[in-house]
Amino acid sequence: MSEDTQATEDPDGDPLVRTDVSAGLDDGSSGTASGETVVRAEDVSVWYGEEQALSDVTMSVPENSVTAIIGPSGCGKSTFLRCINRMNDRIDGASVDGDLYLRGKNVYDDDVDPVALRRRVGMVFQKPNPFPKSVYDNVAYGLNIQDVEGDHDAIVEESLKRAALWDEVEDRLDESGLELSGGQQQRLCIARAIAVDPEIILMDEPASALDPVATSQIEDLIEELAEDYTVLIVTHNMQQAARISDRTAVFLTGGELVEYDDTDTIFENPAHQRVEDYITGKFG
Amino acid sequence: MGGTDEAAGFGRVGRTKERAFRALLLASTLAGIVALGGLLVYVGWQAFNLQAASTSWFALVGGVGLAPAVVAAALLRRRGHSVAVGLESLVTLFGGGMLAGGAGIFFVVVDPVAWFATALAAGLTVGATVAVNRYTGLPAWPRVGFAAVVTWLALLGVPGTVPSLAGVVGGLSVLPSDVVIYALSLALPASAAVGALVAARTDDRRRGLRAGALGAVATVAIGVAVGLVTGVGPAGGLLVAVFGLLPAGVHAWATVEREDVSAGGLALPVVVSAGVAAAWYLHGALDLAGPNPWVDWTFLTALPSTFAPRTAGIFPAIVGSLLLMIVVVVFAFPVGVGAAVYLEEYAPDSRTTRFIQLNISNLAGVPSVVYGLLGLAIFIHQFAMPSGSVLVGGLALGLLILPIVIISAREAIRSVPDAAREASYGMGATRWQTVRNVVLPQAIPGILTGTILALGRAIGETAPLLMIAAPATYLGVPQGFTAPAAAMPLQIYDLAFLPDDAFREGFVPAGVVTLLAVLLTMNGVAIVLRNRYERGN
Repeated sequence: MSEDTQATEDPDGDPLVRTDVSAGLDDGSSGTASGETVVRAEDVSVWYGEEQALSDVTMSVPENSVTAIIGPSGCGKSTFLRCINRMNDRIDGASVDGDLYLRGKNVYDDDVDPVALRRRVGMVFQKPNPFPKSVYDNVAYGLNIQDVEGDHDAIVEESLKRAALWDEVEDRLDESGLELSGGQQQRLCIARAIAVDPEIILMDEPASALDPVATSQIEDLIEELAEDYTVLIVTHNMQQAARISDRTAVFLTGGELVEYDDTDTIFENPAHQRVEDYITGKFG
Repeated sequence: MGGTDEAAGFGRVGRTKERAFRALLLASTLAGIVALGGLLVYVGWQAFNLQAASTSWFALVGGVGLAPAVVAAALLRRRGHSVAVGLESLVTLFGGGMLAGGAGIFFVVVDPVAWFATALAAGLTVGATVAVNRYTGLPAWPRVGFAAVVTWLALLGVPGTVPSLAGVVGGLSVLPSDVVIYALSLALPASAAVGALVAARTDDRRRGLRAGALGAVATVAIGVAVGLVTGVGPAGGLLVAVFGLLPAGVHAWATVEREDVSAGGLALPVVVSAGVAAAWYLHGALDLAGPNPWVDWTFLTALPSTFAPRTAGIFPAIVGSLLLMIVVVVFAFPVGVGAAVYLEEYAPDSRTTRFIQLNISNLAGVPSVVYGLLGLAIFIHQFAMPSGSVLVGGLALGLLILPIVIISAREAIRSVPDAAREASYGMGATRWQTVRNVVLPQAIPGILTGTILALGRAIGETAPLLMIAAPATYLGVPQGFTAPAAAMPLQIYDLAFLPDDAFREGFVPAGVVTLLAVLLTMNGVAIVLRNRYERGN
């Protein structure tokens, strides 16, 4: 029932093609995807044991934009997010069916190393989870474990600036990341994610544990990030999705993607009655 | 909801059962405390031979020795200072003193020159390895190979052709004295560690450098002074300074630096020391009839005897217990922590894993005599290790506490929040990187606490040592790790059966008090460690 509203493969993203695309993962099969689609899911289904969490999801995430996934609790939106960097591998009994392409390479191919995959996919979690290390070491974590060459001091500074945190922590780089406020911690986690220059940043309800001021800071930040990065954000806050995203996918109970379109269309003129009911609060 | 009902109140709920239950719980708690306390008081009374003391002596000890400490604690609490800080520093002082004693005993068995040669070789090896890691772009495997080769050459050499670095140093004709050896191999690294700690805490390299330099100079100066004043000699005094005073100084500094707790509690150890010193002085000056304690310097330093209870000592058994603990730590800590990390971080949640985990829990409850039998069968019969030796005893005790170490280490690892692992894996870290950078740093305080408590269990064990034929009474200081040695509990057990009542009524309680003092100090250190790290620093 959702196929008719599926996005065309090339949505209205800006036509910038990143030049640093994919060394390790691409194996030549990228011809199927245009340079502007970062993630493409085809009939992705997920089971946790006997229970199906996601059923036949097909969607594409365009480059340098914010794509939001909304839906009620338990609709599989986080599950979908965690499929992209294969964090679901860590859950015993989780199994994935279907094809999920990152820059044209199926991440569930046998030759894909999930660790190598995660180095190209940034992730920001629901609860801010900085390491009990200094602010500097938090941002430099990815650089250290991935043996990134170059001037780490400069990369850390640049990442913190991009995460709109530099002014607040400039003099506190050696303090523990846990001493920052909740909103600062979450921006620190975003700085940590972008320090290694990922292909896409996955955000799993990044503002749901924050107060309204911190939330609006994070939202501003996400919109700015979309100029250089591709952001896929899960949220249960519909206003948030309406405010910051370019495109919105609505997942409903049973783990199915019901509608996926430009955000304006979803919120003003949805094609499905169920989506309209959900948006207007008749069903949640 | 008529207006008349409101006046009737809410009625009462019967609480007879609750009161009875509460009284029962209180009674059982008191019974336990009274039984244990009575035992401790009896043993202490016997060990210190307190019936010989006059009433005025008790008054002196109570009035001058103890009362100021109690008053000081009460005052501190009223002023809002933390008494816990004072207790922590007391434990630090006490633990440090015990560690210094342990180090002194260690150097009775191990030649300081051999130690110096090994320490120097190890230090140079670490330095060379770090330099290679930092200044050459070699990949991982050649670096590991380099480190292995350097370590091998430095410590072992190639027999017959290339002498080891340790051997070369040990064979030099001009050898540094013990004081110089301790200063170079103990005081200097300890001060460097203090400097690094200060630099990390204050984020001020120069301050760290100053603290390190000051620490080194002060440690050596104070150590030599203490040694000369107390008569244990400069070398012994240096050990006291490095292991006893330096950690106490660092603890005091860290407490002053802390913002959440006032440092007033640091007055407590000062008051306690002053009270004890004053009581000691007055006791001598007033010539009061004091107790005639069994636990005295002779007891701690003399050889055991089966016919002269008053001059008999427990020194060889203390040495034996210390050497045993070294073997136990070296064996059980890496193996136990390794197993715990594997089970928590790597092993799949399968039926086999659960079976293994269940059986580790079961092994923690197996009687200790079974481990002795195991040690006898494996180490002595199978591998033909010398029976009764420190090595075999330590391995048997290590096996005994291995399940406990594994279980407590697993608890510590499991308490690391999964969000931290998710963050690490999400950044593309491998399991090894996650374990090293995220899991272990957060789990290590808990792991250390559990290991220290497990060591406490091992140091009090008798049965495994009996099974591997460790000598109960060994009339001489053990000569090394392959030599036979007695242990404290075994020594106490053995001398309890001599016909002379004095052994039962004096020597045995004195041994028990010594053992308990060691145990309680170890537990105290474990508690301090846990408290410090639970606060997150």
